[in-house]
Amino acid sequence: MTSELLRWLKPLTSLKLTIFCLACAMVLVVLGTLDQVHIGVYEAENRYFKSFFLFFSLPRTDLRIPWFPGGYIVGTLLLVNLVAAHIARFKLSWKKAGILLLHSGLILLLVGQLFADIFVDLESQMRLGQGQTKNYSESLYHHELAIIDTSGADSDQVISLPESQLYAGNRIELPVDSLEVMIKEYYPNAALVSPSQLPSQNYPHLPIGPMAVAVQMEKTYKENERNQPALTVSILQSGNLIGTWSLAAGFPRPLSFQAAGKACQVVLRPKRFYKPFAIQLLQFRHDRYAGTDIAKNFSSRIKLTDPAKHEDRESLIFMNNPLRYRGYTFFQAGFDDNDTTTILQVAQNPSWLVPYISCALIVLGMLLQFGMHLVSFVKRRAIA
Amino acid sequence: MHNLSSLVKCCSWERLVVIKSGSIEPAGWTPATSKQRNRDRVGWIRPVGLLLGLAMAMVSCNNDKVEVYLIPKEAINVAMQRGSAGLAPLPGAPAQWTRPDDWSEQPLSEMRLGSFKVDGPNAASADVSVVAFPGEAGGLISNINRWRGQLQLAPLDEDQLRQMIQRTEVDNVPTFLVDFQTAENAPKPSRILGAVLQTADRAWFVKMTGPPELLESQRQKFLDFVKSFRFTSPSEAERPAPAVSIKPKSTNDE
Amino acid sequence: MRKFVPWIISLLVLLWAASKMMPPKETAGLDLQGFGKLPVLVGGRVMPMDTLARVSLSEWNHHGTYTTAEGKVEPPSQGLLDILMMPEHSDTAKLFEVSNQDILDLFGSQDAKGQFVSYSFNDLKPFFSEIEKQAGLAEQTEAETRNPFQRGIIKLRDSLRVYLQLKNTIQAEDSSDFGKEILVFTSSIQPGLNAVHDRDAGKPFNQQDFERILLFTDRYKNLMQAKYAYAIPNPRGALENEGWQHISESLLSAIGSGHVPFAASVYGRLISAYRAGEVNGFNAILREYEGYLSKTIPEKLNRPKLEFVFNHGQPFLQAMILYVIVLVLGLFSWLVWPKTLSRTAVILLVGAFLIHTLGLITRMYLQGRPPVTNLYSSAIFVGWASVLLCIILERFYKNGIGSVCGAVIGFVTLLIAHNLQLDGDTLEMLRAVLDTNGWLATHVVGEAMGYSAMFLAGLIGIIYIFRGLFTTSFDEATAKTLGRMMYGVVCFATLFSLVATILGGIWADQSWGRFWGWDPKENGALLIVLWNAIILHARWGGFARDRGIALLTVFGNVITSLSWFGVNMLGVGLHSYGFMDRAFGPLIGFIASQLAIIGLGLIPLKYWRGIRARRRPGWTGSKEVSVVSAGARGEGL
Repeated sequence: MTSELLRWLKPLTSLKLTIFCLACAMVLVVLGTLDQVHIGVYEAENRYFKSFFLFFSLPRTDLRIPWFPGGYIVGTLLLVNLVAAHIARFKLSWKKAGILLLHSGLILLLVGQLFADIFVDLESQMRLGQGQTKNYSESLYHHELAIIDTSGADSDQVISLPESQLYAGNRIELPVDSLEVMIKEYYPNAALVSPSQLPSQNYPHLPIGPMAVAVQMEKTYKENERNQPALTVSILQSGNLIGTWSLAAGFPRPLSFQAAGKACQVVLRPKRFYKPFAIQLLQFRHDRYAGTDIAKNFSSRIKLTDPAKHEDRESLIFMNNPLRYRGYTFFQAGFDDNDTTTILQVAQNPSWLVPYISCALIVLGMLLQFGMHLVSFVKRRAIA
Repeated sequence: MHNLSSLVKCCSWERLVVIKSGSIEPAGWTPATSKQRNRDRVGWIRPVGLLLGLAMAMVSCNNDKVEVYLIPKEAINVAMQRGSAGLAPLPGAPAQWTRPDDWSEQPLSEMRLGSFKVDGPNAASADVSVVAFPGEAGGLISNINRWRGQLQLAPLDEDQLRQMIQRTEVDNVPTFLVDFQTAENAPKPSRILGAVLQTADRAWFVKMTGPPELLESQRQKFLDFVKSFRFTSPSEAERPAPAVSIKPKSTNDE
Repeated sequence: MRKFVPWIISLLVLLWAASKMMPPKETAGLDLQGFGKLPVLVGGRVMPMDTLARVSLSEWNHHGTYTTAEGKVEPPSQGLLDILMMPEHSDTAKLFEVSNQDILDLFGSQDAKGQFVSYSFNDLKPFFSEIEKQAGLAEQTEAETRNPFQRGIIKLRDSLRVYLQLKNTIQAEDSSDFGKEILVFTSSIQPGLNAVHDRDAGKPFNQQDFERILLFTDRYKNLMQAKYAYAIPNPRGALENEGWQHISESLLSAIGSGHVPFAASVYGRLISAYRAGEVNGFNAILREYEGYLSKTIPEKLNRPKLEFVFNHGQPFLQAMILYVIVLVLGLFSWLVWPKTLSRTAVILLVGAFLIHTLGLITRMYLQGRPPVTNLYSSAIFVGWASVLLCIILERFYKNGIGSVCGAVIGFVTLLIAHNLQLDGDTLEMLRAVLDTNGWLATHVVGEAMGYSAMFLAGLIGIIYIFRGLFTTSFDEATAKTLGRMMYGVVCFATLFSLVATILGGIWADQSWGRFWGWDPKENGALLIVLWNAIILHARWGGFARDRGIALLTVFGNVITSLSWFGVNMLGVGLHSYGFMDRAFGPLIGFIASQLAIIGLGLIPLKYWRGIRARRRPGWTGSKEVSVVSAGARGEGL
């Protein structure tokens, strides 16, 4: 029994495994960085670091062959190797205190980052024009098909369908009101053009409005551009067709319809994350160095209102000084519209303290370890 | 299969320790027999496999489900992907105009409600845009000066603006016309013909940008275009929802 | 007496170096220095005219010189004086350099073939519309994908634009005597205002006065397009650098206030004196202006004056020369007169280090920032930290390796910095996100020290391989010493690079909302940390002995240089502050050289000259280990 366990665990404690994992990590980092130039950082992150394997697609087939371990495998192996080596080999002694501290700091860091990645993946943005108030933020990369029941007196019910469910031919049953949604057509990225600009009458397009139609475009990976999908959706109730509409994320106006006597709306828009509080932009400032266009400082003066917590206060968000509130952190990320609109980045990371603690542990550990080396080295030189 | 914790509980720590010294020599550094080495090699597979299984289990719980939630009532504004807040809903567009014949329509960007291109001689071209913002959108002066800034011209104050602006009316809506050109020795001469129409609830900005000569020839067409604006009142735009009908509606009947 | 020889030689050399750094003596004639020290606001910071001259010239041609039509090379300040006050003269100077053949084809030039061709403003005037058009087309492409022609033409267009703006900084360039024009303008303000008031009130008004003031107003309004350098200081001095005016704003403000600001009229008089060739008059007006400045904005004068002295002293150039001398002395000390030469080398190394430090501290004072703020300053700092490490190493080991390494790294980094100077003002203002001294002092400095240590370890590795392969002075003790030095330095590198990288993550968390974003620069730092970890674990596990470690540290050079410069060339990510394709060639060359050295190092040990020398009978090498056993063991990996 124990020899079984030994055979399982022994290879995991090997230093060779450590070096192998470190080398694999380096290869991943190099490949991921180079590919970033073509596919953008978000996609590179998903393909190289937030994956189990790197895949090689056989041309002209749909076959994907894994040819190299991805970030998750390498990270997990390293973590396990570290923990196993400590369990197996290290005794608690002052001499090893430095390395113990150092490695525990590293373990904490890795685990913290893994946690942040897996369970909390909600990077979003809040655009606020001057004077505008919002209680939600929007995803940068994901869209949603939202069906909103506006019949309530003081609240609306939102049903949000994630982007992964939006593909041609998909039929989704909604959990309320026996509603059903059928996606007739889906363009992951579309451009809105005037109908007169279509190359021919039969060119595939979706009619969005009297002055615009949507035509399909290649997905973009550039950092400054966002994909704006378009789709055609049919909504049914108890099997009866209520209507069929074409929607585009580039013109996210809600379309109204009736379902069983209730007033509803349907809209295709960036995925929204509603918050129990609201933020209003009072003033955005873009300070430049005298006589130049070089940015000296960006700052947003905002007002935070949270009726449940009796909060109604102003705050200043600027570079390197975010607002932390109720587990969310708001950063000054950008601006638009000739310095009248602010763009705040919203992050949710309950384990944000972990890197600070890990850093302290690692620094302490390294100072101890290398400090002891240095002291003994100097002593030896003094004797010699 | 046994879960891992029960496996671990039944073993003592000493059995796991291979070399008892305080050093960190790798476990297998003493020359191993080939049989042992083979076992070591195969031994990689099982722990790695277990790890993969664990990791996959963790990752499979993703957030890609249909979500249902309640939000406090809000006036559902159309928030344009990139534009400012509260742009008027498109159905029953609150303004109509007559496009001059030789102005070609361009794809609408996130902010433009109208976009045209005018081609002139010598591959010159001018660009015409129509945008609208709620309220006064920051005031007449700041917007005029914004246009001036685009031509690297100095901003004007109230008095100077009064002298340069032409006031008129289109469809009973106060309209302000301006005509600016880059300075004399500018490397790239450019001209802006602009019109600001202030309706009750929003400000419309019509702007033509291009080479001075082309704009000169298009001046009258621009004025005609601005004069052709017709505004529907807000109450007309928000028609009541049609009665319940069993007949399926076709796309965008509204 | 023998003991003092190193000190005497070093003192002589240092005195010579110090003499070159002294501010130039005042000469008779035009007070060029006084002019060079005058403050001007450019790019958001107050700098001396001398810096404006140097920075502009080095953007236009790679020597950074002002060469007149007759071929005479004038000091940068003299060139700026011409541009500001006698533009018809500078229009003929050969200022603008072009080397791209496609651009030269536009001008119908048949020279070049890879050379630089210098043009004057007048030479290029006929092609302005073409240059403007081509640059406009080129700008529509994305910055990362532009070919050399597009980049070159945009640069040329921008250079010409800056030149035009400079010409109109304190005067309108087409004025034959701007000083007189200001006087005429001043006297026409009041009558002109009266005429405008009368006209508005409907009363009869003086047509001539009215038209004249309108003419001036239009003229100066047009002049506002040339705003780039702001020479008229804000007499109220207060808020930061607000309120410095361009000549156009200054004159227009006179219409409101009724009088022309003193500085504007002083510049007008300087122009008149300069154009008339009145040297004494010019110097006198300069004195007057300096007096005015020290009364109104005394606190703003210290830095420009210091910067002027710094520009002339060129401490980094002197340090570079000294490093070369140290290198020569150090290498020779391994062959002959070991004690004397190595002592001299050490003393000179410390002297060069002090000069290097002086330059670094001056820059810190001038900018008011921690030492590393842009690529240029990172090169200066990496060199500084490496030399410091080498001095410490030399203190412990006393074998000349420290001196040689310090000299090499010091020289190479300062050379890199010298080339980076051509990208513009090296004391530039920092972008908003970098505006935080705390993180700049910890993360950025720590990262730079990590680079220093990596390069040092790599250099020791190169010495290990070269001495082992090519020399006979490679006994066991030396080899072991080198091995220990590498290990120590790698530990140091690991400490700093790991801590600095984590601090960078924390800074990113504060600024951008995420600890780690897989940004290219972050990845580069991670690669350095990972590589250090591999080296340390390989040593501990016995997978690599001294030679293996040497090979690994040399590869560390490759990784570090890619992390430092290569990531900037990718053009993506949040860290792409410096886009430099000029450095691409040298970077590839460097990497190739390191890979070649690794290749050499892989030659089996039995062919190494140093190893073979140990086995020779009668070899009086180290007494520590017997020769035979060393050969038999073959020294591991």
